[in-house]
Amino acid sequence: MRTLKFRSLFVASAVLLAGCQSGNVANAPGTPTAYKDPGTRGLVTGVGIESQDIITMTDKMMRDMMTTPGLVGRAPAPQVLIDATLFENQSSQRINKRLITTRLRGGLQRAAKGRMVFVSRRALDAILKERKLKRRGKVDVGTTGFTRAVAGVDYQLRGEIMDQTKQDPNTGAIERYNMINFEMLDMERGTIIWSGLYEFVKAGQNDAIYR
Amino acid sequence: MSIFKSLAVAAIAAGALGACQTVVEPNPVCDFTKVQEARDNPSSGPVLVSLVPGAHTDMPLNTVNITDVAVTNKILLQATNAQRTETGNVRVWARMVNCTDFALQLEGRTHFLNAGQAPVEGVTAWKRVFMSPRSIGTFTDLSIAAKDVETYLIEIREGT
Repeated sequence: MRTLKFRSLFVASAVLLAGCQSGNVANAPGTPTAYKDPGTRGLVTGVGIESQDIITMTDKMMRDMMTTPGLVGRAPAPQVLIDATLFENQSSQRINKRLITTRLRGGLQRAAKGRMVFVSRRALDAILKERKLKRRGKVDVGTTGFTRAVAGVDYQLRGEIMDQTKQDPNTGAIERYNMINFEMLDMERGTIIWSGLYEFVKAGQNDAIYR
Repeated sequence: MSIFKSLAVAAIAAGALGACQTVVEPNPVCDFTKVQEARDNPSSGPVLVSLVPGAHTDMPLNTVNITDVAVTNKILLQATNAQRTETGNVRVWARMVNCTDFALQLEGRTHFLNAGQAPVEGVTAWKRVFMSPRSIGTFTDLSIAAKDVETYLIEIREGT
């Protein structure tokens, strides 16, 4: 009789423990991470510059540049510098400017197929170091041979990111006018040979946090 | 009693006059049945055909495909064409009519194809077109490639 009582108590405890455990564990799959089309508005959207804006903007600018005879119709091909340091973020939002310049430079480089030559100044220290090593005979000449100097820049792409935000104090609704200006500057004559403007307004009840 | 009679006559006359006043609907007045008719009787021209015969309807090229049912009965294609730029690239455009009494936002992109209907370059990014009520809006796009572009297909969806 005593053994039976003990056994019943044991079973009851086990059931209770199991009950506790199932109460704490949400045994269900979480929301799966999903790939999204970067050219389309995503799940989290605010009033700032987002992937779809960057893709549309850089695509538009690239195509516009590729149809500008002064830029792509020249022989020899112009030497162009596109660098994030030449882009000024005057807006109130956080944005990695390289998202714009890298996409633009990459797209143009693929599209131009030699009709524009792109100069890198980010790697200037590494380039100068390699040139020195070659000239001192520490390494061989490579296969492209020597040049008198590194490439100079004919045209430099400059840009500004600007915005104006307004918020309704009663409802909290927020609206932002974003404007991104691009200018291709002739580095000898100081003239602007091409310019492009991309602007849009976004409004919403809440803004997203951009990091 | 005569006053009541006079009032009744005046009311009837006013009602009759009101009925005479025709409400002029702003242009354009759209008829979407024509779209289906045109689709049922396609004009000759390049088309994308199904790999499995009859598995999907032919997709005409050098035109606009409105891919979003949210706007298929709201906008009409008025005209589309393409021309070569000075640099040899192809500029395509499509003019659309907003048949509704509301502002619409559309997004468009273009496939540029060669003579063999292979893509010459990646599809362009979605670009936005804003359309006021009962107005026209024009979508334009540019190819990167020049001489290889033979046909194009513009896709339109509702902008979000």
